[in-house]
Amino acid sequence: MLFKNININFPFVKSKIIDNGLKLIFAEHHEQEGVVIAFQLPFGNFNEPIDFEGITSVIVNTILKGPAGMTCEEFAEKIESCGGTLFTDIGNENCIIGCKFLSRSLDVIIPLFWEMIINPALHPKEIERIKKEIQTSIQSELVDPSAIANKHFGNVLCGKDHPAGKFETIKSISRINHNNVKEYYNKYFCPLGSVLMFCGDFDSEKILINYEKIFSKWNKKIDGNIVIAPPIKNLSENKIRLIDKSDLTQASIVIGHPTCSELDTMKCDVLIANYILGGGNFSSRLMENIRSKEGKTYTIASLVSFEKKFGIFSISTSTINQKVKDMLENIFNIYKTFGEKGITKEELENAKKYLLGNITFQFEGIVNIAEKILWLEQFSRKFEYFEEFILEIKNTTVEKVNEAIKKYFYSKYFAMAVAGKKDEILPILKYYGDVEVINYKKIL
Amino acid sequence: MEKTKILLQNIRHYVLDNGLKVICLPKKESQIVCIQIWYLTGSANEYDGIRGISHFFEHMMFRGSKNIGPEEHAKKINEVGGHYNAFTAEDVTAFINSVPKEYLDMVLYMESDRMSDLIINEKVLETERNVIIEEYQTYMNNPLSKAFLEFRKEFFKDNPYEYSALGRLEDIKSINVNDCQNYYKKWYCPNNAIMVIVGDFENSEMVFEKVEAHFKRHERREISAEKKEIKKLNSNNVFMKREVDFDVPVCIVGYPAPCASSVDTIPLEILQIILSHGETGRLNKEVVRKNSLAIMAGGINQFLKYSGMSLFFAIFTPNISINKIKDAILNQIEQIKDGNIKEKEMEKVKNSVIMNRVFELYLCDNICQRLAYSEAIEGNYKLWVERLSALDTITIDDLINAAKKYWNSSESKTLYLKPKKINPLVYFMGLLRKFLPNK
Repeated sequence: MLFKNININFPFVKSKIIDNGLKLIFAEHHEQEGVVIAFQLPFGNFNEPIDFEGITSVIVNTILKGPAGMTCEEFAEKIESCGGTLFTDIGNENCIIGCKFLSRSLDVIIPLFWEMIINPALHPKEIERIKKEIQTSIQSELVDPSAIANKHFGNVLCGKDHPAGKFETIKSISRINHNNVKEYYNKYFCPLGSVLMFCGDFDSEKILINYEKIFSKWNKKIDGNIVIAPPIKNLSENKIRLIDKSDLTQASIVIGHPTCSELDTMKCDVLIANYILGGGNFSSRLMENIRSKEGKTYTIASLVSFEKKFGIFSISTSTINQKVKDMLENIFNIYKTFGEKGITKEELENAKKYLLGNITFQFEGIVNIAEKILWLEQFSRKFEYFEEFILEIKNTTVEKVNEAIKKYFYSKYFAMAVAGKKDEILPILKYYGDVEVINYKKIL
Repeated sequence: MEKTKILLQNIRHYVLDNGLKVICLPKKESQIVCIQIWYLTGSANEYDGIRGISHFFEHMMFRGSKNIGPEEHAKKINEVGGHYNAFTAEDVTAFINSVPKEYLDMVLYMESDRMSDLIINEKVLETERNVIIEEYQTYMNNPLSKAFLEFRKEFFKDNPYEYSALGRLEDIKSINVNDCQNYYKKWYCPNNAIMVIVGDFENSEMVFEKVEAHFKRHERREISAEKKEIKKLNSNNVFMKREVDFDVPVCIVGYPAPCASSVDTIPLEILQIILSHGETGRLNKEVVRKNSLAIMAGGINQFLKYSGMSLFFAIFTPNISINKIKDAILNQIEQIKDGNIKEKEMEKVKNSVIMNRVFELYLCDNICQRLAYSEAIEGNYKLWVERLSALDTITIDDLINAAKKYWNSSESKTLYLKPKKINPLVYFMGLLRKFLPNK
């Protein structure tokens, strides 16, 4: 596919919606002899019922154990003996099940992969195994203070009743049983609204001729509504949580507030603002002032994550307990100056150069290309979006970015989650408002 | 794999008069160019008093040189949409740059400037010391990484690899400007570096000319051939137990392995695939699935310039004893040594290796990394390419012999990470798994 304003090697993309509502997408790319096949569903973690957080992960990973009528070992043998690798990617509002393989194995992998999707065995023993694996990975997060702080941050900011405020726990995983898994699969896994994408070294015509009928046979209908997470309420006071872990010599800090959604017209300006404040690594104000000049941290960065109806802005860092007070003062000073005075023309030009130059990297290789195509599908966007994005970046001005900062990037109140040692950190945090203190194992 | 072969045929190698080795591979599809420079010095070249100094350079190389301001290297690359990184390992300190193809010269200029004209002063050193102490604390606040570093120290006792690139806190606090200047003079020179360039350029000759234009001014230096004292790794059976604040027990078993340039690395890598790769890897198939002893199990080889280790691990539930888990891992290794390897497994290995290679080749960064590793650590970049053809000639007997040669139970070292407290829920889950029917 040729773009007018972007010089990238984007493959020719062909798509077709078949009788059962499934969208097939083919992106032929013949540089090497690899293929990625990916099935994307239009829901993710946000769709999970209360008390069953983590069910998407359990189901998707159990699906990888293969279709009914075949043992997990037999299925794995068939996939792995030809070098295939299965993968999953579970997002908040989408989830992907995929396989990377060599083009010469196309006719072995496609039927197996599709049978796995439409007729998974979902065997109780496999479900229990997957649950244990997920619980172990939850356990492993407890040894990582930044993971603890990040997990709690969403909960502090959004509240436990908002989909973005929930997270999987050992208990929520324990509650999930075979019936829940089957029910959830039957209710939500269906062709309408889903995408089956092929990217790599193949002939799309041949795939259509050989497999369209097989893809069409899946005639399930969705039985329920998919949850689209609503906007997050604006904060009316500072919300602070200290997650106490008494052996920590260093505190991990996440601070933030709601921002605009993926579909907001100011999204590009928010992206630029974030690059300048903390997203641009050594080019950002936070990194330059806090790490490069003062050496107060190993890393500090800001991030904006965009969902369909809201976004979250956050700043993450860590520092030894003795420097937490200084660190917070520095962050808030930089943030305040940024919000009040906005950006400079030079900063805008540098941010534009980065965002425009970086486009090429995002399309290197079939895995990146596949990810980009699926991302467009998630937000029902056309391929022209890439060009529109570039034009928006090129045409924006200091005034527009500053307007976005005032609207979406400068909040009087903030949410903060800190994983640290209570005795040393609590008095510092109290300066910013009431502090909820919980033990780090509460995450379980 | 015709396309793979065609691409790899175009790798070119060149050595400047001052000893800088340059490896190039044109890859027109990419529209970008990746430039990596690996200095052949890392934590193995450190000694008490300066343990961690190589890591200082990973940081200080971004703090400015004669013609490049502090952090300007990073900022310039950001401005064109590219990315940069650096890492320190036992044998190397590596610097990574990826930029749109038009900016190759810019990167070469900046890399050249910091090869011999780095600014090293008190101010820069103090700022980076603080940053490095923060990084050190991040590792030490994780009980699993802390325990593994202790295990590693025991594994490589009295060996150049005893300390990781993280170094020692006491040394990090005391390293001074003089130490840094001496270290820089000693190791940062063209004849102690390897440059790999992969990406969208017409031909390698043109790239060599550019590299020469930028780097020929650097003088070759006498590299003090401080021959590493490589004692045979301690062959005693070691059992280390650490109580950690982590509810799930972990068992790690390590064996001494050969150095990266040894021909024995190929069979050992194949054996790791047979044992640890994917759902059908034997440790998963037998220890996790069939016998329900562990939640996860696997392994990895780490081949360094002068030595190596083969590691196997199992994460299990508290209702299983450490001895049982360890025996289960060792049993799988013994079965290999007894000759129990099937042709079908060899087929899987071949396809798996080819598949990994094909997907590596999509990304310039990956190719750079692989070529640089082969040249710097294994001693010859061609080894990366030749590995594929070695698959056609290697036999099951070669694998059995390698396992017998290196994986001797009497020389194994074990790390047992024991939870301080047992979480009843985790215990119960372990029992439950045991009694559920197997399909």
